[in-house]
Amino acid sequence: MKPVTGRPRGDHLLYRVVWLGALLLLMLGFAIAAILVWGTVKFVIDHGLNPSLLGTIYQPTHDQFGLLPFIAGSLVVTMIAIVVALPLALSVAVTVIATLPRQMQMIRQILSGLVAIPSVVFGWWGLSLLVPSIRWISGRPGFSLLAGGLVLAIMILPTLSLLSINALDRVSVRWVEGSLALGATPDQTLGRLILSVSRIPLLEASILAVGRALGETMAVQMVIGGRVLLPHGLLSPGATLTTQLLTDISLLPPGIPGHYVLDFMALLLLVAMYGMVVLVERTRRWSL
Amino acid sequence: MRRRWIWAMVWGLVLLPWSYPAQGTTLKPLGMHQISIIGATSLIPLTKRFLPEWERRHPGVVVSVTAGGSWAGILAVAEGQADIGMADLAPLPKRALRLDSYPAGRLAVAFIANSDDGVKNLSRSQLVQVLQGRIHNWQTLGGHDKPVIVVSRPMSSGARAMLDRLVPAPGLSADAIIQLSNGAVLKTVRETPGAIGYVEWRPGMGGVTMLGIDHQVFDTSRLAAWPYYTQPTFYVAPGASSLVKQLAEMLSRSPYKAEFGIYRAQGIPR
Amino acid sequence: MDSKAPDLAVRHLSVRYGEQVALSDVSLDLEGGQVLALIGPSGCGKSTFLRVLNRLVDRSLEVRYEGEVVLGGIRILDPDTDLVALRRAVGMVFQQPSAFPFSVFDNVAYGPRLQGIRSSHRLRSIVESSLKKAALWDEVRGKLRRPAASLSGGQQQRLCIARALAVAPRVLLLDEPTAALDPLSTTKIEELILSLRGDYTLILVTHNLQQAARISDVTAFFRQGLLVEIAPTREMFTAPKCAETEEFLTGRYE
Repeated sequence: MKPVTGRPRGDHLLYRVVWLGALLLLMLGFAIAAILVWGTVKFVIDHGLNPSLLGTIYQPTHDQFGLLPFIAGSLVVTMIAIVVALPLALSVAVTVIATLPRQMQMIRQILSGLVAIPSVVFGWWGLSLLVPSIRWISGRPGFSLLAGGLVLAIMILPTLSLLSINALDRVSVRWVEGSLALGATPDQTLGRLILSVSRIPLLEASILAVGRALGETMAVQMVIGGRVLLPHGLLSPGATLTTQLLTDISLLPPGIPGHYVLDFMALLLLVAMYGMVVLVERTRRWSL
Repeated sequence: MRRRWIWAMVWGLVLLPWSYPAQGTTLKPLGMHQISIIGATSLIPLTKRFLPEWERRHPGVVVSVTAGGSWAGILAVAEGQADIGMADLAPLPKRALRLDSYPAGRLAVAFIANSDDGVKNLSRSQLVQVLQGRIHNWQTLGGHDKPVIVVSRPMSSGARAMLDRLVPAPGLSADAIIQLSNGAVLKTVRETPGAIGYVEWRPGMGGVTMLGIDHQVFDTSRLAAWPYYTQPTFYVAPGASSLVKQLAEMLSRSPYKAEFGIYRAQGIPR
Repeated sequence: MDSKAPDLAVRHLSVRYGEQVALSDVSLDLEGGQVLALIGPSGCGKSTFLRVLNRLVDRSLEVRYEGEVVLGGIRILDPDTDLVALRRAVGMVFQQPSAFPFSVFDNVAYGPRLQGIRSSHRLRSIVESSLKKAALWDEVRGKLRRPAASLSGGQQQRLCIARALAVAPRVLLLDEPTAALDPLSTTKIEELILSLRGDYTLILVTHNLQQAARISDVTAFFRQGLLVEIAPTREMFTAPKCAETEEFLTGRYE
């Protein structure tokens, strides 16, 4: 942080303002993490290392804090989202790159617009279309992990498509023409060159999308059913860490015994997200 | 040196939330009076319906309304973080006993079933067994061959609190689908064959079977006779300003209560 | 196409991008195994000419062409022409080294693998012989698993030539192959082109007139989509027939 010598003092003003902004953000992050860690510590103080944490029974007002159903719910829902969204996003990206390159700017704008749609809208869409469809096909209630996962898939699709387009667009025209000039068919060029070269950026995009899916709350809550038991199938209603946080935040405001289990759940999510970020960094390093 | 300073700031921010004084934290801009209301979702429409004209009659007073659930409403007032709490809980948490209360009346809790269930009436013990998750098919109760799906509200809801008193241990089925709002419960029950749920009734609710309990029909013209209800109430700290108390009282007597299904309990034995 | 380096015959070739004329009524003949240098100011159509020969020109928007181009028996502009077969027979090297972001080995093996060659033994021998032909083998042997990007610019350009040679073409198109290279690498590429002469028909676009003079047998001068003059290189550089050519060669042009 040594000031650069030989320059007028005023030169640093903007730099310092920016630096303060960054510092503020850093502190906010630290503060949130610290609050969650503190809450977790309080939880341990209040309830000991409650063995029920690893169980499946969740009754926070009765000292039963089984989080497995929610962890399972989060994992399953996120998995469905990425498994469904990734091939679709890739299809969009390949179509744009290969057959609609002149419309790419417009398609990017449309996709960016879709990214801005509030998640409740997706939730509403899931509630009015997806849940009844699943109910009609399966004869089950329709509110399910599957519905949650599919809503998330649609929700992350624009983001994932944009990132995939960017990834494929980074593949140099020189490489593509080099491949074609060697007698490669367009399909071969796509499979052996374009997708192969973009696999690291695509992986990175997927991890970002997983992060977004993992953190989404409202849209999932609207269609997942909120059932607190361990789900026994994709068609079973369930809950995720985020939806249960939303449901219980008003039951267990700060000061109520059991409140700190929410801090613990939030901390779990934070750690998972951080793991995702680390993974992105790792994949970036591999690609170098 | 510089680094130590950064860490001091970081820790300062981290510790900030705990350094708040417990009482009277609302920051008041000069010349403005702020009143904050927080609590049960079921009372928010009523409050929002009433506030504009009250604010017009009290220039310089700004009222904010926040949803947060009954528990949060009572706690916020008890801790001095809000001026008026809205709650429909019973039994009351201990902290609410010290507060001044302005009851608004009653809000009927209706039991609703999907129209395809084929059941119009349940005995009270049948209702309890259904809600406990012990009856799995409507056929058992003389209805159609449809699996029973219980739709409920989260534990923070006042209607749920009433239900938890009604259904003895082990309590409401853990298999239940949880919907966050009254409207979501209604929509879910209306659209899901086999569903049964409960809503805080207000005019305009339809498309579902209003279940009779023990052959007592849910009759909207004779709500006062219906034994299942919550008591939405506004809470204020005893030391609150007269303006706050006045607002709470006006809210509890608001002429718009009927629009939201709130009726007076007069003449009905408790 | 027989094993002899193929002859090239172009008759009344015109190419248009939308309304813009890129080449107009170009006719020329080239004997197999020779080096043809295409010179001319920027935008004169020489790169377009090159891209017609492997139909990479098809990738351009709203492109239309007419005329006849016959390369060793293949009628290139025929709509039924098998582009895959054509491009295997006509290799191309670009101005900027376009090595794929793979290993050295995988770059050279890319073409053979496209043709379905799986045997690692065969791939190895193709890679080795291609790298030897491209005069790169001695510099990269034992480093075949290194990423191509770790090579110098000149080495990468020779890697691209090796990659093109690996599919056993009979014709090599070179689009300003030394424009981005230092003098030493340029010399190596020029030596390489000379060594390939005879076995391959080589067509070279260059801005470097000395380079054209050094390594080509025949030189063609384009200007504004027209073929102004084509002649044996020595004749063209000593006694150009057209005044325009002379102006260009003496640098009094543009």
